[in-house]
Amino acid sequence: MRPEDADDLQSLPPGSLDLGAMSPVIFRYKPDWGRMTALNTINTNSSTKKFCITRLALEIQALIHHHRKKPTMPQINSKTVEVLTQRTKDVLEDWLRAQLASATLRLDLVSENELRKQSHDFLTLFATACEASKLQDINTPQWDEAPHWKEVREYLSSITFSRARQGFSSSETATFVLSLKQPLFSHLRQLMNSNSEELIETMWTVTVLIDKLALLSTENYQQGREEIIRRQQQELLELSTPVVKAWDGVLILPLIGTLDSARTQIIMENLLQTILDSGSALAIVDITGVTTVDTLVAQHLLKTIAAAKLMGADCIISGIRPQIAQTMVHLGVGFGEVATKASLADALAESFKRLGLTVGSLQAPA
Amino acid sequence: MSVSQSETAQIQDSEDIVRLRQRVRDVMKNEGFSLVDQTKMVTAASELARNTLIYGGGGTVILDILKSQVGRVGLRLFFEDHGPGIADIDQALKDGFTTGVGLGLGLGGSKRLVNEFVIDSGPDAGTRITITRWR
Amino acid sequence: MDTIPILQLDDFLLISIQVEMHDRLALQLQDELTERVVKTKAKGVLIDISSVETVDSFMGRMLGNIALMTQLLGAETVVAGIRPAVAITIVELGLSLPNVRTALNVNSGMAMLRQLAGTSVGGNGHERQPE
Ligand SMILES: Nc1ncnc2c1ncn2[C@@H]1O[C@H](COP(=O)(O)OP(=O)(O)O)[C@@H](O)[C@H]1O
Ligand SMILES: [Mg+2]
Repeated sequence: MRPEDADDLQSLPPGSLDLGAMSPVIFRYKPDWGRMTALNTINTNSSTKKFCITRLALEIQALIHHHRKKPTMPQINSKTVEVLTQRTKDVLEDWLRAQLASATLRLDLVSENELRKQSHDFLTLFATACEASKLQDINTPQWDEAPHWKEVREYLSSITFSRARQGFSSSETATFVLSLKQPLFSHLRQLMNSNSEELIETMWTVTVLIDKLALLSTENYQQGREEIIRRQQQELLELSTPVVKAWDGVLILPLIGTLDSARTQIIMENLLQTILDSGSALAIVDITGVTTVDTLVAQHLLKTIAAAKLMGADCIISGIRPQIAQTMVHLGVGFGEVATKASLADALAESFKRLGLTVGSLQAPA
Repeated sequence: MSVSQSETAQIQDSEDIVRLRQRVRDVMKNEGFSLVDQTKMVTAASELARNTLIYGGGGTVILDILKSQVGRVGLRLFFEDHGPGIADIDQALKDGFTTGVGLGLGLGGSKRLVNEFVIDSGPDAGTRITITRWR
Repeated sequence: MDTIPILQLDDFLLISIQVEMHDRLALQLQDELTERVVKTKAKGVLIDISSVETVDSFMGRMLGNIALMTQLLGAETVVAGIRPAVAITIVELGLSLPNVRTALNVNSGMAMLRQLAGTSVGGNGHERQPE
């Protein structure tokens, strides 16, 4: 570690940590080179990355700190606990004020009352957890697993998930816990001799603590959004699977585009239900518009045909294009005993034949 | 992930199998599982409960409702008996293999019907099978 | 104890399974049904399982056994009304019902039995005696 690195880092204005500003410094810090590179290859949204970088920067700051002074472990001291337990009301009010003043607050999505309740509950859990884990090294697995902190994390997660559902952005969500820093700092400053070694240590610990929670909140937010996307995809799929009644007793399922196995599954369940509802004993699955078929999809298709058969309906597959036939042969999946026809028209003609219907043109009277 | 509800039931006769099927069905309906999910899990439960009764000489089942952090819901069933156990698990899992009069589809079939399937058994060590299905 | 009623309709026997099948009940049905096929010289058996929510390998084996036995006695078996979720599950379970014919509902099941009986008249020597 070169001394100027430390100066570089410490000269950075707080809150201005971004990838651009940080990287020259961090990249010079050799032992963490690997982690930084790994971080840069993570394909994640920028605020997650920013948190990681912020965390890393703080760790480096701490390392520098330890390098210069005797190493100490970050732990919640009695002053922090005092602020949280003796000045709870003031901290809560300051925190609420900070949140309400913040540009990222969405009063259209969360009411002030709700915010007050969430903040109060969170602060209570947070204070209890801090008190219970006083003077323990916060960077240990045991600390992470303590039941009080689990409660804090679970509560924060529940807020995060509900915000993700309500349409908050990731940074709007993380602001909740991040904005607690400022009120805590100012109360700590009031309580302690400013510029004292102890104050710096304390603020550092609180920073690590809150950043941990903010990082969790960001991760949870991401998971929450993914879950929402998954659900929406599901709903969309259910809308986009039309089964057409071609004739009394004959259904057509025109499949179009790329079939993945989730989509195939929904389409097929839908087909079986329509067979039941319409009492159709024949179903044509037309795959003319299908671009590719993989083993899994082919298997789904065959299973559905077997299921339809159990229900008492026969399926005909039409429109198997040469490439798809080739792929299927290559994959070792055949349609076996399933009836196949080259075109939808052929399949329809076959259905009429099975129903005992004939198609002909009407002779005009002479 | 956490267990949000847990209950234990006995499997001592064929009516217990029916009761378990009904209980699994009700729980899954309540938790919003799709009809296909319900049917697959109930069927797997029926197969394993029957094995517990017939081959294991009776046993217990623990039914847990799981909640993952992201709010995914799962149902986990843990079957346990202190019967003779299974010497060759791979063989027992093969479709069509039976030492009784069944079709030999219970183990292999129930494995296909669920998302997670864990079996622990050995000669004279009883049999423990855990199955999970996620919503 | 529950029993499952077996109805007679012309040359056919009709069973509608409305209760949860436990194993003893399934075996009992199997026995009673074969007896009735012999006694009535029925030409076909229709089993309506549209109310059944679960078909496991035990029930599958029972349906297969019934079909096989009635076939040996000169009658066809049609299983009607398998629900979509049940059908999907049966396929995934790996159950094949080789001797069992299936129909969408009781109506098409009866039509199927009539057709089968019509085409095999005189072929099996099981013409129903006038009572
Ligand atoms: N709980 C159990 N205890 C001992 N043996 C078991 C148990 N479950 C399954 N087996 C063995 O595994 C075989 C296969 O089981 P299964 O696939 O359910 O088919 P089946 O029940 O038709 O025999 C059984 O025949 C039995 O030998
Ligand atoms: Mg079995």
